[in-house]
Amino acid sequence: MYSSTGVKDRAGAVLYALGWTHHTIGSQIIRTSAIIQLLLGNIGIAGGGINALRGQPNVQGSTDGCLLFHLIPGYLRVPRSSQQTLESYVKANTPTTGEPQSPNWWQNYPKYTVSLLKTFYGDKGTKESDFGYAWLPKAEDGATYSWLDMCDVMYQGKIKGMFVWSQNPAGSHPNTNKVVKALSNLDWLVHSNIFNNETASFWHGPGLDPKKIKTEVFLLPAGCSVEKDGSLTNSGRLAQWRYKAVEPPGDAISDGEMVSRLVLKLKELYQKEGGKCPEPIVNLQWDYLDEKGRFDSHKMAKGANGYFLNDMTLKDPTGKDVNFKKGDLVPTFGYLQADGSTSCGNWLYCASYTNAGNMMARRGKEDPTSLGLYPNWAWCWPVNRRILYNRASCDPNGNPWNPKRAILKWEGGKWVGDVPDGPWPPMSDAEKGKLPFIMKPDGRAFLFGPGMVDGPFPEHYEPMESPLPKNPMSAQMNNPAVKIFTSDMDKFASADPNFPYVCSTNTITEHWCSGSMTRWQPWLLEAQPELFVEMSPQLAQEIGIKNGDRVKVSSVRGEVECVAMVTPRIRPFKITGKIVHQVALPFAFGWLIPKSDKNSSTNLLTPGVGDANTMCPEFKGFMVNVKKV
Amino acid sequence: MSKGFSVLVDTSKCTACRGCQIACKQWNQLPATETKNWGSYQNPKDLSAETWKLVRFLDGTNGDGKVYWNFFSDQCRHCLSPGCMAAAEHDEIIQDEKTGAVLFTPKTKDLDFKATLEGCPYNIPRQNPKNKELFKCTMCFDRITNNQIPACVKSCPTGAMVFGERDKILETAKKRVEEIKKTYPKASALNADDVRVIFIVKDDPKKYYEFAAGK
Repeated sequence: MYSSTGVKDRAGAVLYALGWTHHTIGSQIIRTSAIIQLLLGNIGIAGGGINALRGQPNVQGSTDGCLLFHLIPGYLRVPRSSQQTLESYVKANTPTTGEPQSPNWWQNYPKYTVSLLKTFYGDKGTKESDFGYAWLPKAEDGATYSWLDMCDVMYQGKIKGMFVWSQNPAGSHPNTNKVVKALSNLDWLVHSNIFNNETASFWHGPGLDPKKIKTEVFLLPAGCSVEKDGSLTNSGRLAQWRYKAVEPPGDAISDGEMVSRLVLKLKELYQKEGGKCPEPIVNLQWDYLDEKGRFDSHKMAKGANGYFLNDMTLKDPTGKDVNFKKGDLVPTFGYLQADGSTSCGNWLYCASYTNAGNMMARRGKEDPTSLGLYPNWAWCWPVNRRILYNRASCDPNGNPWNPKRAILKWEGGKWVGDVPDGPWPPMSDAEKGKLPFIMKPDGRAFLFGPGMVDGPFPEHYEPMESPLPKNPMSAQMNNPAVKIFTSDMDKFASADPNFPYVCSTNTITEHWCSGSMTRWQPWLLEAQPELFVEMSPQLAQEIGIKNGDRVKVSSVRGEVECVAMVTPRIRPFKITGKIVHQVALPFAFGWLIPKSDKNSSTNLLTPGVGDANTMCPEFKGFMVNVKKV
Repeated sequence: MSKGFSVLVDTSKCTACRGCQIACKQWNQLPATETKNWGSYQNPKDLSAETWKLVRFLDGTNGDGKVYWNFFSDQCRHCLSPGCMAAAEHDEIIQDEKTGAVLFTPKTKDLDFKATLEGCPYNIPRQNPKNKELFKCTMCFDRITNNQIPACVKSCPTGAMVFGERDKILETAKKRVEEIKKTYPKASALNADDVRVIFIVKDDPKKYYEFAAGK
């Protein structure tokens, strides 16, 4: 049925939630959907695409801003130790193409890199000093720095202090027993949140004696979402500015203000006392303060957009001269330079906050295409383009494949509709026309996928813990590119009769992720008060469990106690001719609240292994046992 | 009396987010009660003097082997001829003429609770065990008489709940049932002619809740 969308006048959208990513083959699952969408022509059109239903409102924004360990802002690659000079870094990351019709957009990599460095280091970043490139930390070649990696290094006692910002790793990350032991190796832990949670109070956690924990913990009271202003970017890349409704209570402050105070204090200390490698901190430009010295989110947003640093005359896309003054906000990333004459904290956000004002705060309700693009509502990266790769919605002459849902049309020598994915004429113009997949070196989408650690085509591998002794699809059992941690607490039990049931974890409507905010809300707790495990009537009958019984669920790593929910909604699998039972538990509960119950964190069960590309943990497939208490 | 207001609860659009259940507690300042998981998503387990709106969950397997999971956002139906009023003689329970809301007053503490409960086809009234007063949904009387829609309706993110003039709600209900009957031949609007809070169900009402369509 889905393949019926592979025609000109129909569209199909893929919407996926985090479950797809919670596998050691997660990235290849997403690639599978990309291949299907490309083959069906469902990319770049209205109602198409692959849409991630994010786990948090600003996941897209924080990813754009470089939450992930392999990136710096704007999806630029994190510098590696083999790239000691700006030249070598830029060379390694700037693709070339032999395809004359390819825009090869990443050829602009040097402009975005230098403009970012100018935002970091301002006047201190000169051409002679590689714009401060040497001051950026360098990751080891090929090394990963995910939570799983950090947790493992912490467990080895090699990390002394840690900032944990607005998340609850002692509740939401896998193998909780290892997580709390790792945290107890720290000298200090700074945690910012709106409530106490399992991370800030990890020293009360399972298997630990609070008297023996030497870690000093600082819990910073944070302002919550309505107590600060700033932008939120949703998974449609729509950046919407939010106003502050009320001041945070008591001593609570916004996280922006926390970071700002920390930066200023660190700069002061390095200035005064020196230390090893003070330049990255001392030379950091931090001009995001209002007249009273407080963090100013508007100045931060303008810094992300970028400024002209000199008076300059540049060519617009039609070749006309345009004059800019020093201090003008850059109107679009087409004007960014690689010579240090522009700054830009995130090239994707260039055009979000211009001399015309804060585009993200716009609330225009016009919908000229009648396709729900609402071009004047807030602002969408890049350059307010609502649908990526939208030139793929037109034939080589620039006519929409589906005229009834035209997001773009080449008319009278220009594109009409959405902001086009590049200003060039359609592909039939042999001289100036360009291919639509502008971020790929040859301008075409990839079915064959190089650049990932696995692949190049998606393949089925069993989870690290599986009910099966071998992969029924091939001779290779697990994803061969998976990183396995080898500590004494990283245990696996695959095809082990002691742990015969497949388990997966999930969220629930009433609690937000690990429940660290919602378990403090009496009405939500009333609706969903404690940990439970869902299982089929068939399994319940086999092991003598009735609905509502208390049961113990165990894996080779830990165990939890909870209530059995027996329901026909869970059905046994039939795999290679054998019945395999499945159970599922939400990860919304923990041992801090509502009551001190050490065995109520589902992640005590889960394995500390992640997707081969992203290190996203394998929450959707591991092995457990279930017994009546 | 058939003018006034009505509420449509279209269970075919309900995702059981329970926003309505929480919004009811919030607007009416009702405390959370201590609960335990009893093998169901439904919690609290039942209506009470402190819970006037409750999403009931029921799952099972049909004859054809297909599994169903039904959500029923239970509350007072604000009947046109309220059975609960049969035992009330001294304005313990009143029916507001303009809105049609059926309201329990503090005088309900003098009523025979068992008789009042038996008079209700939908098993709605509940008693405060301490002061013996009876409680249930008020149709957010304080809101609807101040140009506001009921808190539960306001909170509904899918449009499963709609509030409005009774005539219009009846019309909407009729159209919607016709529409979903194409997919669910057993769909119906429960007792639409007798109640102000009209539930649309896709299947046998007993597969939602024992008293969904009345005793």
